Amino acid sequence: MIRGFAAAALVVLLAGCSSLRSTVTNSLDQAVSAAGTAALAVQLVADGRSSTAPTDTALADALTELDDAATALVDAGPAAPDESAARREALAAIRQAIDAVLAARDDLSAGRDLARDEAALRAARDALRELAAASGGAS
Amino acid sequence: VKRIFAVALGVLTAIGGFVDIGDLVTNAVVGSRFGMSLAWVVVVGVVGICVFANMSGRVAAISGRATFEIIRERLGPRAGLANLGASFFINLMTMAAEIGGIALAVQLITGIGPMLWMPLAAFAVWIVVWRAKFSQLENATGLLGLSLIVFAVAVVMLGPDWGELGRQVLQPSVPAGEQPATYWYYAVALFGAAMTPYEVFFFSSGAVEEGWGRADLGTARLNVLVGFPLGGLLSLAIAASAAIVLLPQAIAVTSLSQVVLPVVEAGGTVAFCFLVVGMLAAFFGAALETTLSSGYTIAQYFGWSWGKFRRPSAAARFHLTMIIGLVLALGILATGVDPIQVTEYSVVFSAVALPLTYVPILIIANDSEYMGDDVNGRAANFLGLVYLAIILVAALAAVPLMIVTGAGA
Repeated sequence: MIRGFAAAALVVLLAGCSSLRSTVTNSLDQAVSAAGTAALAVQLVADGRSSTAPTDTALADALTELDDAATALVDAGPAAPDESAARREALAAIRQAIDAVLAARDDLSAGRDLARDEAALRAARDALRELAAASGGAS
Repeated sequence: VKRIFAVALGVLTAIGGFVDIGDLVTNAVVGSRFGMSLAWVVVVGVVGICVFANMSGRVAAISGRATFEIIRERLGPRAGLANLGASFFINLMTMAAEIGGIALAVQLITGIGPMLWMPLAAFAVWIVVWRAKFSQLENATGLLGLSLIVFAVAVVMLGPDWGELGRQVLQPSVPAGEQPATYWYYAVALFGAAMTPYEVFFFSSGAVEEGWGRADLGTARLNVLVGFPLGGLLSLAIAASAAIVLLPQAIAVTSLSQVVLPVVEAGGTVAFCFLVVGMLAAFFGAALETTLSSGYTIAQYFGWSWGKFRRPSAAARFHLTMIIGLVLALGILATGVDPIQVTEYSVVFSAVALPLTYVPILIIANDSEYMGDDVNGRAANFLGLVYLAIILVAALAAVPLMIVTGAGA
């Protein structure tokens, strides 16, 4: 009986541990996808292959995804020290990507050159990708 | 010449009308996450919809009556009501998804958010259902929907590694980083998208609208057996374009703005224009079909006068039902829910409801009271039973897989 309870408690504990870890992994995967979308959309408009409206829509959708990814991390609750560090790193990388998308959106609507935005978005995506790979994500 | 033209028109509209937002989104999501490793599900789904659309068209042509009229009469009011409830619910979700899809497609052209366009899209659907002739709305949206062939053109222009794509199709496997449960969840979703119940209600009621008789069966069979598989190829092209461009960049599709990126990369703004026309036609056509299906199912169950071949004043409750359906669909969208998420849920719940649609069709197609000498042959029954087994497995697995995978997250 006691063994049964102990096993159940262990399962719950492990589920709780894996829950935060998987939240970090899932959020990073989601953010990699969003930053990659923004980078591709900006690259296409910079190459003259796309126009403002679909690019702006893609950037707006990417912002929503990045915001969702950050919210999931913030809502995940307290964590052990090593997990807390992973969460902080992930949040910082997502915020960098949000800044890059916001800047790209501003430059797009103002008709400014997008080369720097494209580079910033790729850098943000690569940083997220590294973190995602380190956390065992699909990216 | 007239007959050849009619056959060609039927096949072309069947191709153009095959893809709706469920097919488009689900294939793009699957292509961006699993490459072409779920292509086999599209093939299974297309064969299934061919089998049952052909069967329901034959039932309508021989008996002169649509599916729901016979379901209630043959299975009784209780079983009919369970069928009606599930079908109406799925249909309503699909209707909301299609109207939301129109709004998202307009956003891609204007850059203005979708909430503004949703009521306008619903109004446009209502006015067309109210005013246009059945053949006009079917042919116009079907032919314009052919613009989605731009996905196939894009795949060729992208110059993919055909050997690798072929390997993914012929040796399907779960990609690294994805769970087997998620793979099977999307297999069920793709199957649900290909076999969406409203397509059968619309096909069967459309047969009555257009006054099909025994003489039209050959043309109808050709439309289904040529048009739907070619429409299925279009679905595969959507998945392939995402697999070529988005998968290597770890971009998992969650919005319509991502679906267009591979086509824009391949063909620039010209390809984008074709794509938007195709998407608008496909979503608008499917919104018309689901709106009509909501009217068909309720009116046929309650025995009301129905059909576009009647003036609206002669089928007032049929038209009122469609207006209520549109208002309910708008109500769902007004909550701020993402139309793409509604689409993803609608295809999975479609899979859950598949037996309620397809079991009665199989029963009625074997009932000599309605079909006389034209009951199902051995081959049709064999295929029907095989698909019944697949449908049951998909329906039973859909909700558990949805829970286990967090809706494919």
